[in-house]
Amino acid sequence: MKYAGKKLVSLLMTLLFVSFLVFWAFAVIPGDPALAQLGTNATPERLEALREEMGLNVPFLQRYMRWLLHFCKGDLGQSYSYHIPVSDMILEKLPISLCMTGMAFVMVLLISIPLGILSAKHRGGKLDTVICAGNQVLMSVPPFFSGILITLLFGMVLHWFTPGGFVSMQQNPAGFFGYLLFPAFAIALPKAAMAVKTLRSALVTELGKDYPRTAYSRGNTRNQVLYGHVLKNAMIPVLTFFGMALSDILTGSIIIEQVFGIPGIGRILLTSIMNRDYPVVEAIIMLMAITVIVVNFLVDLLYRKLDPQIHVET
Amino acid sequence: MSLLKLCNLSITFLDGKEPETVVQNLSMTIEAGEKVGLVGESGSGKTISALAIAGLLKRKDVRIEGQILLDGRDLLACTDREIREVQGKEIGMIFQEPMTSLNPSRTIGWQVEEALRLHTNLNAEERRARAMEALREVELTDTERIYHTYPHALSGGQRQRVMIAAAMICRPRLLLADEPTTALDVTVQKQMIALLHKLSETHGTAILFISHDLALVRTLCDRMLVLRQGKTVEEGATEQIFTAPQKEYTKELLAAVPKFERFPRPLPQEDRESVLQVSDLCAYYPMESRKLFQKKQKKQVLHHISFAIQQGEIVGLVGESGCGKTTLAKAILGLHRDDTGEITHRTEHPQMVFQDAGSSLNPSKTVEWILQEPLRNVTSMSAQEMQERVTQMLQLVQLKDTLRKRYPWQLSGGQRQRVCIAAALMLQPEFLIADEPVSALDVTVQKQILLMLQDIVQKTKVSIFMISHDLRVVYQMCDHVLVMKDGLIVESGTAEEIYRHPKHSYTKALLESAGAST
Repeated sequence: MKYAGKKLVSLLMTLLFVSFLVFWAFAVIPGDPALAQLGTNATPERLEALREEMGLNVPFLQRYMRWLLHFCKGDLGQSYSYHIPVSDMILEKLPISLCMTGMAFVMVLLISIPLGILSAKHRGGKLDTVICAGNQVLMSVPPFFSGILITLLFGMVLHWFTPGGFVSMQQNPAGFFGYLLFPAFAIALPKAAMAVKTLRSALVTELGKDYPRTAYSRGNTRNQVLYGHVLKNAMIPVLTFFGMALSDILTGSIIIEQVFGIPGIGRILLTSIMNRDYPVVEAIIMLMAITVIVVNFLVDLLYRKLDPQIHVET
Repeated sequence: MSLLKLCNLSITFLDGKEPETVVQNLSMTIEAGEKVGLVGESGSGKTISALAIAGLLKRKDVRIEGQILLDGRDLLACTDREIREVQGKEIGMIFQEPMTSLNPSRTIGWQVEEALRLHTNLNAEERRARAMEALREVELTDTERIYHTYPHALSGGQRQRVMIAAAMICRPRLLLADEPTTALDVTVQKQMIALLHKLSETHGTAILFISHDLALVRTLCDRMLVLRQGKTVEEGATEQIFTAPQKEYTKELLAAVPKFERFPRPLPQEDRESVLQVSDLCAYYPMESRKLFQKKQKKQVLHHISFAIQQGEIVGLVGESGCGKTTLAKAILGLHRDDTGEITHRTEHPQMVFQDAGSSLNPSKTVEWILQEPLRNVTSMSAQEMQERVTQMLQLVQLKDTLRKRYPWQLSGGQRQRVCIAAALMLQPEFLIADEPVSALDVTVQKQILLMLQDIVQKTKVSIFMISHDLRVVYQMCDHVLVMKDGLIVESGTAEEIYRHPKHSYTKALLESAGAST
């Protein structure tokens, strides 16, 4: 419990720091939200009036403190460009992005764990060679490109889905998940390839240690040694990778949403940055930071479950 | 019928360019309840033979010929399934490295019970009862806690006891013990031998005890077998071999065993200058703090250490693992920052020789490059001068000049340690620290290296601060000896004083474990 409390304090500090950094970044980079909103209609008087109205003339620190106070109360503010509460905007799009991230992550797990084990089990064999070669190729293809290839193959040639034909969950749940399958796959591929590689090398390292030999000397079969002894130890480094992959998939979905025409969080983020719609940007980035931090926290907890040695060190 | 009978066992590795036969026509028998020692230097094929007997050598790139008969049944002709029935049930095995031979993420109880899970139909409760009994039998106290804990919470000796408990739990008739005491402190070694003896007597278990430590074999085994380069050199009753060895190699091996005899060396002349002076040295390690804002706690590992080393003197530091020997060496070298007290040495760049010559040399550099490195770093010698110095040093450590172009992995263990010593001497320091310089080497090589160090001290007047857990080695080599326990120097004096008339009880215990007759 002491550990969790200590961790929580450091999590909050991190979030505070991230929020300040984002706020500060927007204060120093060129671009004026009032000007972005008025566009060509801007006259100095109207600009000044709007800036006053939006509270942009207040000193930076004061603005930050005000935002922070509201944020802590759960009030994310109003979008500058759409004039609706930010929370409504995000809540509408969030499920789509979360679904896609979740699907992609499950795919990474489903692909990488069996393949990694298979590859390590037959290390040096033909199957291993094929898996490793495939890995090498998949790792080097960025998701947006594999996304285009997938659209081409499954959309244009095989007609398994209609490119650009996104339907919302309310309209057609099956169609919604069916459509997301393909972008999720595009995101999952390179991560899965890396995970296979990480798991394989972790397993091979563990198999080369002394304790599997002890296990064999007691009459264990190959599979018993692999699943009963080695796998748990090999999962420790792989867990770190999965944690990073989950954060990566979440943040990396922005581009894929563009490629597949999905109206998710990534899309709002892009348009909001272009419109200098700070409240929206700030809220989304905080959301991502919270997710990344929470994921890392969970990985830490799982670590303690897997590796008994961590207990003594903390 | 013999319990185990090896008939013309040959083992060949096929993974290199040419097939390499590591065991040739090995024949031996072990009767039920008999304790047999298998001795030989590294590369003699003793571990490989044991792995073959245990059925752990079934690989595509290994060819095993001959017969391994357990109760007349040839294990080499058995299927994998049949072999697994034997493993852990008929044959138990314990290994050299207790630190790494246990699964770090499984509880001790789980691992001790494993063979029962695999070979019996006992239920969880019965297994647990058997495991607790086994843990008590290997003389572990606090078995309840140990049952639920993980390997990292145990000391090396405790882990080896757990290994023995796990290997013996199905009451195998044969226990293969591959260097089970090598990684342990002398006092623990002695206990471990006594334990193996007791278990063998109570359960009638036969033991094949593999060791390079002849003294241990003598205390435990009824018969012994001397191996060299995969071939049997001599076989017979242990006492007979020790008292009247027949073969030249056996005699050589026995002669090389460090004894409580001093190498002849001239008495150092009086009133020499001291090259190193340590006074009132304390050293600390940080402890992980439990609370977020708590001040970091420190653990004191060295307590008020004071001593001096004179020119041309060899000073030994003995003590068991974890007593602070290495921390002291680090502090002298300036590698340990958190210390108080005073260290004065006359040498600008004190040098160190480490235990593991294999991993302390950069594998991608030639011997010449390695030797020149200290010169490049702190002197402005010309390439010509550096070459000459390398030639000199290779001569001093008795290595052929042609070895200068070789890489460390192309050298033998002894040669590598010579390179390490040469590298430490390149700057012609007035003293060097040698941390367990011969522990990883075979006895015959050990003796050569020790004699060479004596010779170097004579020639160069360098002083050596030698850290070792082997009291015999220290006695052979050193003028002065410091005995350390828990970061404290409990006794110091000339080697003769310490070894002939130890005052502190700890020194006496150490000497007794090492088999000294005082």
